[in-house]
Amino acid sequence: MNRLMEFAVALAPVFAAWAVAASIASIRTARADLAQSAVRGLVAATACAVIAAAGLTRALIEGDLAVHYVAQASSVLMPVRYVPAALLSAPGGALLMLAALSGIVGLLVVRNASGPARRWATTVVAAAMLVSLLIVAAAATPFALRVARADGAGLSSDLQRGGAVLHGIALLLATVFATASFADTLSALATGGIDDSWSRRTRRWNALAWTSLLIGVVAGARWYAMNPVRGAWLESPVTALWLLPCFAGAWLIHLDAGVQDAKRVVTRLLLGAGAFIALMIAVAFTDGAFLRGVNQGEADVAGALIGIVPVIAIAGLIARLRRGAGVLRAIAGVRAQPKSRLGGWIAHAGFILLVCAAAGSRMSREHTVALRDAEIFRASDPFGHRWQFSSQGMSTLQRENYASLTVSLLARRDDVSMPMLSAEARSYGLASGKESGLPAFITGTLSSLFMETRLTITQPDGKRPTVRIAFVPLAPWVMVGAWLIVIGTLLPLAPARTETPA
Amino acid sequence: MTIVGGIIAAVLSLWVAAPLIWGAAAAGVTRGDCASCGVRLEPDARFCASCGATVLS
Repeated sequence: MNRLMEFAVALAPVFAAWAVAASIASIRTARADLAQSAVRGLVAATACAVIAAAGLTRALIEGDLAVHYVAQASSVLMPVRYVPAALLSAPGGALLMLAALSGIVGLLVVRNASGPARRWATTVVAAAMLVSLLIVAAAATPFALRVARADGAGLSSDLQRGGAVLHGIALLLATVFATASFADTLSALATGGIDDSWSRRTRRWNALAWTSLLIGVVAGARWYAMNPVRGAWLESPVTALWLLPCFAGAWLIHLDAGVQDAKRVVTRLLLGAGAFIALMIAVAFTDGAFLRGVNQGEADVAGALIGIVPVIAIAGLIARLRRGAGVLRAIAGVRAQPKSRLGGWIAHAGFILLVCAAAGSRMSREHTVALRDAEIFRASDPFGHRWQFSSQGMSTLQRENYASLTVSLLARRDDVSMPMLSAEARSYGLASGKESGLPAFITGTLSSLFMETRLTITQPDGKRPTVRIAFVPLAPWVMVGAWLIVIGTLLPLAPARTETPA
Repeated sequence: MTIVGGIIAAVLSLWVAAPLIWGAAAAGVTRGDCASCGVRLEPDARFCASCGATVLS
């Protein structure tokens, strides 16, 4: 079975290359047979990528250590729920998934396009897939056969978190939808098709891409906050790179709705292309993956070659725009896009919650203390409530794939008992009994409407473990705000609940 | 497994190349339509009146 998957990985870029060549030839010669062969090439490349991605997922779920990627990014004891994190943590899996999903979504773009625009859409989607598939086939083959080992290297401990899984999947989807939007825009630009139909189509792709990206960024911020080993969220340059398309996308979503004049449409066009380019640059900076663990060792630099995609995208965009105003000849036909007043209220309420939460985090208070058994620590939170934490000592626990050391504190706020606050230091193990890298520190939380109290172990050794207690005002509003923005953004796209501006 | 892969690759390749091998019939385009946008062409047209594509034959 693995040989068949290896075969699919090798075959996919051949079909994608054929799709690019045949669609370019069909644009130059206007031959329908070449155009149809190009679309079929794209279907075949997508099929091969989907088969290979499904095979790799199966290998990860079954723990097939004869597969190179499984031995590299997983272990026998890794729970199945972290398979998506393993899949997206190295270019062999992440770029394969990107190619497979881009192919599926790209075929929808191709199907909705007609005439010459279909050929351009085929070229753009196939070219984007080709780069990913070539990297996977030539430099990061996930199915390269190895002698089966007793266990794999294991997934980095900080990636074995729900937040990391959500972060990776959302970023992958955002990149896929942004690719669809860019393919649609470039093909419309090449054929003078920047018209009302394009406006409606790209609005949907932009909304899906931006909401996915927002969820990814917010889940990432939360994941960093709960994982001290990741460091500060905004200190990582890659985090800032994901934020760039997020800001560009927020502006784009605002411009996508309402009255459309030529200036606004051109700004939308450039913002959409810019967001796609920024997303691909961020993927290149993560070395062709969507997640990177702190225990992961040396980066697989081959994945950074995905940075070729934004270079090609910029060149293609400039080449089209140099043709002058003729490419925008249908721009006057772009009509006002429906707005939803309810959606707007919900989204802006979510945005206010996010801003408040960001402001609240600036007023957080942290205390680092070493506590013996039954020792008591007293502190005040930013709202002036008096807290008392009584150490309940340390306990150890052996789970299927990790050993856990837990510190529990009995909390009281203004002399009222609160639920127990517990933090963990986890050492993930391999089947051989060895540890798979640095321990993961799991933050315990106590949430109320206006504040989150966090407990993190910073030094687990000895009889007096050192812990960090943090009071973060308005932290629970982050996820609520993000989901409100998502609902508010997607609401106008539901046909039954739209209203056109007067 | 290699043989199965070879057969799948051959079938896929043949399917992809079918429009080129069997021409317009496989491509689903009737003679007299524009190869680019599908609009019906005048009998002696050298360019498509709809999209401007060059008529090759």
